[in-house]
Amino acid sequence: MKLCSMLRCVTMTLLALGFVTVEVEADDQARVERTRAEVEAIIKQEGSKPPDWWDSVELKYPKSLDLSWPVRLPQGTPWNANRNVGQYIWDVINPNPSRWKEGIKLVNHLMILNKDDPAKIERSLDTLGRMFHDLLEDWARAAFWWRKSEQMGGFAPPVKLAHCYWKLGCKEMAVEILLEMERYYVPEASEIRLWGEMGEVDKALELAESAAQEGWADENYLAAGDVCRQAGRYAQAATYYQKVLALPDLAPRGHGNGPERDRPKERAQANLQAMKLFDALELKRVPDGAYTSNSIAYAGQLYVEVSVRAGRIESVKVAKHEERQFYSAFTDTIRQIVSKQSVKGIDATTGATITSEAIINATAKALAAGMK
Amino acid sequence: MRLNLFLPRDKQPTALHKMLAAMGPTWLASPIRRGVQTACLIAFVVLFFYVCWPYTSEHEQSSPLLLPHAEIFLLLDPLLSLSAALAARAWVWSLAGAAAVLLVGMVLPRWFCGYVCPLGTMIDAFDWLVSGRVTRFRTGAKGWWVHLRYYVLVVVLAAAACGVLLSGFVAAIAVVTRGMLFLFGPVQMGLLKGWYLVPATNAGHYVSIALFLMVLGLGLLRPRFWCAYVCPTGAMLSIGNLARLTERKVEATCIECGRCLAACSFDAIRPDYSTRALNCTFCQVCGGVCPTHSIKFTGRWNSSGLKPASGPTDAQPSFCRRRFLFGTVGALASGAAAGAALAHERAGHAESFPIRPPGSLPERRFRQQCVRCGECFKVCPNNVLQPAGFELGLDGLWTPKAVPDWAGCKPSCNNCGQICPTGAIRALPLEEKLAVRMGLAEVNKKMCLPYAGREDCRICVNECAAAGYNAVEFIRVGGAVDDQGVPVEGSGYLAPVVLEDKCVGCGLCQTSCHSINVKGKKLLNHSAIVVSTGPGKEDRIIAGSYRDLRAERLSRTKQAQPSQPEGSGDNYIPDFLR
Repeated sequence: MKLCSMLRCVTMTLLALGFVTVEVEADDQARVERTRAEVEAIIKQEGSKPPDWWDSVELKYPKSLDLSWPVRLPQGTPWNANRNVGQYIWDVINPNPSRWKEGIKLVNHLMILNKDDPAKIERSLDTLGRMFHDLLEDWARAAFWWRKSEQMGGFAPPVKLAHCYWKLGCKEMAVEILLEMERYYVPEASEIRLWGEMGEVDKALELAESAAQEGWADENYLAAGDVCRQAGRYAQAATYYQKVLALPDLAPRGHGNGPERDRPKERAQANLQAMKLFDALELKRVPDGAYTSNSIAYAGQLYVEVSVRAGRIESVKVAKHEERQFYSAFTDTIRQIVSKQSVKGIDATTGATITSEAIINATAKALAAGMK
Repeated sequence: MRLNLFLPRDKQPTALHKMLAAMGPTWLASPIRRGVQTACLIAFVVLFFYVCWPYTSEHEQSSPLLLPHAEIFLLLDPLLSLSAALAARAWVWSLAGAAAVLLVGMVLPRWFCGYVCPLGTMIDAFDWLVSGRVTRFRTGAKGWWVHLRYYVLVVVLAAAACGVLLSGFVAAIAVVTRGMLFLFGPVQMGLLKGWYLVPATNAGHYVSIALFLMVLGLGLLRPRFWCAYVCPTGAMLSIGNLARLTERKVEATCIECGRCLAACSFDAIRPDYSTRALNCTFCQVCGGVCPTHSIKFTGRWNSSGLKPASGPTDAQPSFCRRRFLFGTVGALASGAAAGAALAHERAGHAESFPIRPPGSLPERRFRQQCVRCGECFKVCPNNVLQPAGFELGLDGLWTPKAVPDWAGCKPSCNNCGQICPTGAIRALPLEEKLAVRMGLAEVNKKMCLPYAGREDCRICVNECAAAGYNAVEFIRVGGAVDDQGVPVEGSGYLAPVVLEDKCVGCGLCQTSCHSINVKGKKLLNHSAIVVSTGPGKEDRIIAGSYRDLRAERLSRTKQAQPSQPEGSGDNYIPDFLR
């Protein structure tokens, strides 16, 4: 017992000093199926309970912050992340994982401060849902707060809420939302991806085609390609990626730093290229050593370092990236690659498909380049 | 009581005699002394090269066994400890080592010079290799310099009393350690790890190397000229000899052959063969060369059967009172003047704050206690610490400063404090060291690539996170908003922000920015994140815990924060939503 705790102490010290790299364990989290009633119960119980970190995280924010957090800033208000809450969350909270929890506490605190204004409460509820979903991947609490928002007459983002239900184990509830949504809106890429993730590939492709007919081809064909690729339908994936590449160049969108506007084509190209490598790849022919390569991710090039020993992928490390949200793709995707000992059949991490794929593609490229 | 350590001459030489004779006359005369000298020199050299980074042990961590002993020779140099203690007016723990040396010296007078001092042994080796062959600079035993070492000592101590430490220039072990370090440290690093890891040299390096070579070169005048006439450490031990219990004595059987006179390299034998007890280092070579076994090392007050004194034939200038008085007063005055001048100069440099090693005493006290031995540069992985040149003034010469453009201070290392012989850098445990602020990193928003809108760069943030400090975080800058005022996803850049309550000024961020953006990509002329020091940016306390200091500072900043609602845990779901 004593020895055990001593060993743990030593390991922790070594970890802290950075001598030991965490080996990702090879356990696939098997999906748990739950009934509607079970999921409802989880949302009610888990969601209404403060998370275990709640009391240990301090509520802090700059003194200059305007705690009244107006629903709409007056026209022409200068950008000031130290004053305007939305800008503070965007500029300071979101980019720093170490601040995510304190950000949630802040939003919660502001909701209570502004309890007399229903519009402000609703906005806080929606923000809480987004933060629990996008940042912490806490599905039960995200669903809980979005439902509170709906009760107040607000609008929860349907695909994300459906995603929560799916993650919590109830496909039925997710499908219900998606079908409802289909009646009113042109399909969007995230919807297509979720159908694909739930195993409904044909449904996903059908939506992609209908979206393409409405004139939104690039993102949606890319999503369709990704869905096929996930499902192992590589030939079909390739045709979708080809379709993306064959589209006429679009006018630049958004105000991104340049490269982001053309991302669908770049990604389709990268995915096509990586898929060609998948079949040719034979791990046994990769000599021991460390290999690096890169691929296009969401915000820029992502570099991985793959180390191989005795025909096994020992570890994959993201060496450099420009992603702006750190989601769980890094650990999740890498864990899958190491446990499956392959770059094929890896489930993309939801919400971070593109990052996930970039890791897979870069790993495939690195291994292929090392092959003898 | 007999303390004869020499090997007496023998009519029938044994195999041992023959072997020692082959090694040289001094080996034959006093083999134990030569053996001890050799062992000490080897120990010094081994310790010296052992602690030079890259360490031979795993993980580039210094061995906990050897590290505390690497500075043992510095501890034994009594002048270093005494002058540091005098300058700082404080107890310096290495005084214990000095006391031990002086105590042993009562039985074996000046044993440190004769047996232990690696500089002395090196001078012996130099004398044997070079001076023995080059005779044109030889000088007689007479000269104005015969008592010079006492005056040097007085100057050093007088300056120390004025709070300025000069011992780094003249104390034996400081001179040899630094000389070796600047001459051979880079060679070792270059050969073992790569020449690109050898930092640039400055004037301080050359002055130190010149000093070291000059000390050796004095041997061209007379053997061990430095030790016998100049070395203030030697002078201290000579004064210690006043309390000696033992002494070299000559018996009446002496035939006045002059061999001992020729063999003595410390000018410790008068022409009448009696002993200059303050010079004698008990090397005992004279005993070994004496053909009549007339020399003995025995109790100070043992006077049976001695050679009668044969009148005042001392060839050295007599220790006349007037000369002594003038000399001492002059030395005192010049020491005090040097002290005052350097203290004045130090005040003039008060504006330029160097980044000192973690755990350094407050600047004034630091300079009073740092003996400029160079051990901290030696143990510092990757040469974060480098010797100052003249940019901090003469008084700052050879003091350690961190050079973050070159390398950052590793969070896993506290070697400099562990090795500092005088405690100028406190020997802090690692968890304490991690709480010490050496300085504060500051981002130059005009240069920093994301702030300037030039390109995405996260080097410093990643570096700080990898080191475990998490003191640099992101802020989104230059983002665009659409017509509704909603920020555009993917627009702008993530730029670094230093969290003042977490930054310790290790400089890892500056190192990475400099090596990648300045040297590698040539995007900048200077690192855009720079560690600076000064009041409020660094922690330097003489005693007490840095962790407590940090906790105190944090609680102070917390009070300045907006007050928290009570029991915020209950508020997770407010009543109006239940």
